[in-house]
Amino acid sequence: MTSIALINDEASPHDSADERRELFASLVERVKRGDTPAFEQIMTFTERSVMRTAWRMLGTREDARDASQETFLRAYKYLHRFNSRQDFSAWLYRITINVCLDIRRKQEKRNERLAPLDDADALEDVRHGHDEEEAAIQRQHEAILLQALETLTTKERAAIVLRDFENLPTEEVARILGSRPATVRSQISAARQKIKTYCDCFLRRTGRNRTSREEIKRRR
Amino acid sequence: MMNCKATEKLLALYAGDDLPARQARRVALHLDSCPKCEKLAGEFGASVALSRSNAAPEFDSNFFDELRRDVLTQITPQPQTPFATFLAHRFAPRRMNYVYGLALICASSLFASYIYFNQLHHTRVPQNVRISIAETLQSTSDIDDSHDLHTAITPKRVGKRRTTTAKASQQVRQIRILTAGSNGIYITPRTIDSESLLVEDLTAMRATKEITLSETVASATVTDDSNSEDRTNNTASVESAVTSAEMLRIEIQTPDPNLRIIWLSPKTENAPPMKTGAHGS
Repeated sequence: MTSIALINDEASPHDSADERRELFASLVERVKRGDTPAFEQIMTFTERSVMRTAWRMLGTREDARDASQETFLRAYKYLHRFNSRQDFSAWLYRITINVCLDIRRKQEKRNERLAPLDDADALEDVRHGHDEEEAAIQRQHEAILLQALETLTTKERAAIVLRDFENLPTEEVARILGSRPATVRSQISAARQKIKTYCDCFLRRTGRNRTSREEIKRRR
Repeated sequence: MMNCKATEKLLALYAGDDLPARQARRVALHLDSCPKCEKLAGEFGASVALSRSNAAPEFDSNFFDELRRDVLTQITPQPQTPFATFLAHRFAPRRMNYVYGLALICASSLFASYIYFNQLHHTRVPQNVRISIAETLQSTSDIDDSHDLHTAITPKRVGKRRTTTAKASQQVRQIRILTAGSNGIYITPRTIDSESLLVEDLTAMRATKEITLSETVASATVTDDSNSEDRTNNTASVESAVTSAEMLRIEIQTPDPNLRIIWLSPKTENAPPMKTGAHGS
């Protein structure tokens, strides 16, 4: 199984996929025996990825926080069902996506979806490591991308978030979403078309719409 | 070689490196010769690059500390006071299931007992009493099987009127109506055809006083094929019955002297004893 780098780089000294899997397996076993601090350790390793995915899926900081909290509560509740041979990261991603879909469904039922652009400012105070101009451009990109994500269906959004924003392989995305790789590819293709259409105007304005084939080849 | 239309469909996946190697090579071959598709591929590439290069939002450590604290608060079992522990133990959901089950069984038993004893002490008025001589004969081997008598005595309520209809076949020799305080009415249908005899429930009639005596007599007269003198006698008997009736008794005499069908109306409280006068058979 392909390993997923769900663990925060700065939080874990473990590099290889096997070591990560062993680490999570031992932590899960400890939690199953009633060791709550072990679960806190799991949270420390995974909270940023969970929060990031939830934020991409839901578009607002508050919703993402609620989703992260619910994800960890659900993970703790159903930890006894987790098989140590499974990839814990994939398992947690699946829970995160399901929680986000539940929250979106509830919001759509109550018709209380917020515009993601309203939330872009909330990131200003937590961003660091950029100068002011760069940070402003970055915020603008995020806002545009979040708005573009809002144009997608929930399945397309889940697929593109895991593939392009979390950089997971298509096969792993398919496994997490419980779909076939061909279906996921189709969803990713549709999502990219919609995002491109939405972003075209913005990209033309900033002159970033010219990515040479050499760059694509280089990435391959 | 691929055409533009087929290539355009694959460009989104090509830009994200999601095509199998063979298909990617074919797309690249087409892009070498098609500037229009190459431009489109560049735009897709920029879009995907924007998504992938988009730095994840950073949240400070206080945010995650708070998140962790909230989760741990909810998953850590809270210490309880002895009283709370006692209550939780005493009224634990699993224990309460048995209590609820027991209470449900007791309630069901009480309800069933109530219904049973209620039925026992309140004799309900039969809605439809059918007496078949054929059935009686099967259990009485010494009686001749030639009596083909079917009767039906049906008390029913139409508005506030309660009527009792006695239907009998041609084998009926005599129908006698007895009420408390009288020797009853004798009606002897002479006609061979099936006849219907309408008898007002005298108990109800006296209570409601809605049905006049003349109607009763008229009803009886319709089916009674006796002479006018008999009719006068019948009228007198009915009058007597109406004034003192608490109970109604209908006797149907078959041609067999040993076989008589008797139907009794429900007993009313404090009813005087029924006079069992002489009956012609």
